[in-house]
This record gives sequence, C-alpha cells and structure tokens, in this order.
Amino acid sequence: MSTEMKYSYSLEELKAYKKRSIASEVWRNYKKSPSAMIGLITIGIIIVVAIIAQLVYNYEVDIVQQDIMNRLQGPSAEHLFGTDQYGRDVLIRILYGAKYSLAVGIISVAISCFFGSTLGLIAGYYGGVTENIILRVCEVFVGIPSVLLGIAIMSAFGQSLVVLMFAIGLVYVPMFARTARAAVLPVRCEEYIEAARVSGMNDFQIIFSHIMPNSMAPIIVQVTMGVANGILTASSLSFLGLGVPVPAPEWGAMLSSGREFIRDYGYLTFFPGLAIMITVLAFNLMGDGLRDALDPKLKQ
Amino acid sequence: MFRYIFQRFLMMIPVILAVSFVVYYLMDLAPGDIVSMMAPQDATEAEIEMMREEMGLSGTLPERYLRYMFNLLKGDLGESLSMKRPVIEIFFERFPATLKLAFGSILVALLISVPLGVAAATHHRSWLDGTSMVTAMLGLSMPSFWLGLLLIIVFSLKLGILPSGGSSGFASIILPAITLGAGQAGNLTRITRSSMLEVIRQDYLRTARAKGVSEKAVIYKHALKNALIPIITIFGSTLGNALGGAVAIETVFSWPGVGRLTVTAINTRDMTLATGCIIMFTIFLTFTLLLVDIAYAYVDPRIKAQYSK
Repeated sequence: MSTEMKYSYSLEELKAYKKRSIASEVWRNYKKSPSAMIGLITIGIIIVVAIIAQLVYNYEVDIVQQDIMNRLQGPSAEHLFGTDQYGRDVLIRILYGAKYSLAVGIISVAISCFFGSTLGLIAGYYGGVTENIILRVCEVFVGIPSVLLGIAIMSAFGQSLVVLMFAIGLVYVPMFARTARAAVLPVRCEEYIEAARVSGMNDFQIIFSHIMPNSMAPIIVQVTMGVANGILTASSLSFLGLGVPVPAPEWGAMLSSGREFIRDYGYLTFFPGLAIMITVLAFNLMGDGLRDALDPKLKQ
Repeated sequence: MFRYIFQRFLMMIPVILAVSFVVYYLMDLAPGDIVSMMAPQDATEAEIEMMREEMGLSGTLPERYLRYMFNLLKGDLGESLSMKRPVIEIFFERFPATLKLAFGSILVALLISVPLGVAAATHHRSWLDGTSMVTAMLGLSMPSFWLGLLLIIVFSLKLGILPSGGSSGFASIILPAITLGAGQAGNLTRITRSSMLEVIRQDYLRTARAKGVSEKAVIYKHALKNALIPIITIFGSTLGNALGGAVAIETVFSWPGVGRLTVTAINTRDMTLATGCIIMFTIFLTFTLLLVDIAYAYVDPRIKAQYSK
C-alpha cells in the first residue's frame, strides 16, 4: 500500500470507481450463494449446448427426417433418450430444441421489460393523470388470465415463433410496468433528482441517467424470474398446440406429441419435461441469487 | 370501508368493458370465420349473408362491438355461435368443475406449504430448511402439465389406483388437484417461510415465551396467526392462477372445466363464447381480489384502522 493518499479525484475517475464497485459488489455477494452459482453455470451450459447443437446437427436430416424402422425404441446406448414415434432421436431433438425455449424466454422478456419498464418509469416519474392511465390499462391486461390471453393472441396472429415471443412479451408487460413504477416512487423525490432538474437536464435525461440506474435492482430480478415464467408459459402454449408449429423440436410440443404414447413409452413425455424443468429451475435460482446479491439487507 | 368497497365495484365496470374490447377485437383478427365454417358447402353468397345477419354478426367491427357492449352492460353475454345457447348458461354448467379444482388445489397447496414453511422457518438454516426450500423451488419450476402426466404414469397406469381423467367422484379430483396445487405450494412455502421468519423475531413472541407458553403454542398460535396475513394476500392471485392457469391441466386430465371450454371456443372461432368466458373469468378474478382485500382488513386490525380514517 502506498503511503501517499490521494485526496482529489476527477469526475471520470469517480464515475469509473462507482460503476466498478457496484458491479463487483453484486458479483461478490452473488458468488457466495452455491445455489445461485449452480443456476448461472447451468444456464451457461444450456446456452453452449444450444449453440453447439445448431452447428453439429442438420435440421432437415437429424431433427425432422423420419426413420420409421427405428420408431419408439426405448433408451439405449445408441439412443440415450430413445426414439420417438417417427424414429427420431429424442436426445438430439431436446438438445436442438433448447434454442426455442431460450429464445422465447429471453426475447419475450426483453419485449416485456422494454415496454413495461418504460411505461412504469414514465408512470412513476410523472405521476398524476399519466400514471393513472398507465396503471388502469395494466389492470385490464392483468385481469385476463395470462394463458388465455396468450391463446387469444396466438389465434389472432397465427402460430409462429415470432408471434409466440410477442404474445408472451405482451402478457408480462403489466408486471414490469408495476415493478418499475414501484421502484421509481422512492427515488422520485430524492434530492439528486431535484439537483439534476435545476442543472438543466430534461425529463428524458433525468429518467435515463438518474432514475433508471437507481431503480434497476428489482427490474433485474424480475427479468430473470420473467425468463423462467416465459419459458413455462411458452411450453404450456405449445403443449396446447398453440406454440411453435410442428415438426420443430420445441419441448412443450414434444411432450404433447409424446402424450399419445404415455402408456407404453413414458420416456417420450419424461425427458422433454425434465429439460423444461432444469432450464426454468436454473433461471429461478439465478433470480433468487440476484435478489439476495442486489439487496443484502433482505437476506438477513 | 363501505365507500371503499363501492368504489372498487364501480372501478370494475370500465375494466370489464376494456377487457371485452380487447378480447372481442383479438378474436376478430383471428383468421377463419365461423359463419363460412358452419354454412353448408353449396350455400350462396346471399345465404351466408343471411346466416351472418341471424347470428348477429352483420355490420362493421365497431358496430358489432358496440352492439355487444350494450348487451354486456345489460348483463347479456349473447348466445354461443356454435352451440346456439346462452353463453352464461354454458359457462355456469362448466364453472363448478373449475371452482372445485381450484379450491381442491389450494387445499393441497396449503396442506403442503404451511407445515413445510413453518418447519423451514423454525429450523432456520438447518437441513430441514434447505430441503423445504429445494422442494419449493422444484415445485415452482416444474411445468404443471408435465407433473400431471408423470402422476398419471405412476398412479393410473403403473399402480392403477387413481383414474387418469374425467370427473366421476372424489377419486378423479385427487390427481388434478395435486398437480395444480404443487406449483402453488412452491410459492406459498417460500412466502410462509419468510413471513414466519419475520414474525419469529418480534417482541411479543419473546413475551409469550417468557410468560411460559409452550413452544408449540408460541409457534402455532402466536406466530403462525400473524404470519398468515401475507398468505391471505396472495390467496387472490393463487386463486386467479388456479382458475386461469388450469387450462393445460384441464386438458391433461380431461377435466370438464371452463379453461378447456374457452380454448375450444377460441379454436372454433366461437367469438361470443370465448369473449364471454374470458369476461366471466375477469369478473371472478376482480371480485376475488376485492374479497381478499376485505378479508385482509378484517384479519389485520392495523389495516382496518387505515380504512376508517
């Protein structure tokens, strides 16, 4: 340690210090929780597997092409998870299908987070009539059970991966709007907001450079939990035959088509469901870990 | 208090109208039209037009919606296009099954989550705590329809002790209720645990112990009573989930509830039935949330005091 203390810092240095310390503090807290680390590592593995599966397997040949001679063979050394009613390897389809769940989960949350948080920030910052209108509109969408709203949207705009992402994204917009608004409320009256206004910043600048960073924590937690929820909702829509169209190896759809053979070939329903559960579990664990890491007060 | 309840009732009207607007327009966007689906193949253009007129589907979309809305305000949800019977009648035929399943699942959820959550909190940071939390997390992360199918494999197909579907007698509700209840139990266990942990540190518990109340009575009488308050709050959303989220489970167990009815209505483009069912769902959901708020005030005198101010 140097004996000479530094008393004056440039603004840039202070900014860099602040940024580094928040992120590294959160990371230090996060690392302490074994379950949170398991979640993070599992998500990492799933992402890597999803990418490798895209590179190694050919959609037409390995995923969709039927091989009736080998249909419904139980798990074996050659086909670890067995083959389905069209003779396709279940393990390969599950590995390849990881991309659908990840894509739907992550992109739908990105959609709901973007629109929801923006609305919530606006509602919380301006208050009054604006806030009232936004909250009332949210109330309407919260009133409709989410799976039913999802089904209605899917049937209105047709079945495809993109529509599924938007359907689920829209369903969870109100949740983000409420979280963001609740997070802004305590920040809104802080003195530094007043100071920013006096120094001539406009509303847009204040919201993005002061309000948002200071109300991020609950939104970040909501994002990870939202991915978990999104994956579950997407898989139930696919299970009901309203998600990603066949023959794509989406997990919910695989489960649904395996249902016919449940009496004798239970593994056809077991493995896709297990894949869904592990993925959702990983995001939930990460969300829990992030919540504790972002707000150490809660943990005690 | 009554003024507050009255206000909440009035607030329900615009919300329900807006829901009807959203759902009606969404249903109209869906490709495929029930009139041409139902018309005989050799029907002429004029005949189809006449059918449309008879079914009350003529005119532009705003015209049709306005007609629907005015009927709705009079409490009339119209007639199902495919079944030719009042929507409200069909809904209430199926609703008891959904309600039974919802309450069954909540009972299961409470039976699992309260003891588990209390045990986790009283044995904070022990293996018991850890196991309960892992169990709760698994319950939260499991796709419910998957759990349902696994239960069918084990209890219906392998052991043959419980029916795998239908709704005949008590035995048939067991598996669906467990399936739906397990997911909710995950959430409830976590909430019970954290609210117990909060209560356990309060001074009045120390007082109770000091005056010689047995440990069991301290936990189950003094602590749990206070810890249950947050559980009541999420009862509303739990019931909402049970009502609306049961769609996949109703399908798995061929349970004759409203969820499946709604999905069928959407798939067959029966707009009035689908819109009507979703509106009824919304009404029940808002109503439950209101009841929960009232119950909340009665259970907790601190909140009641706020209303009377």
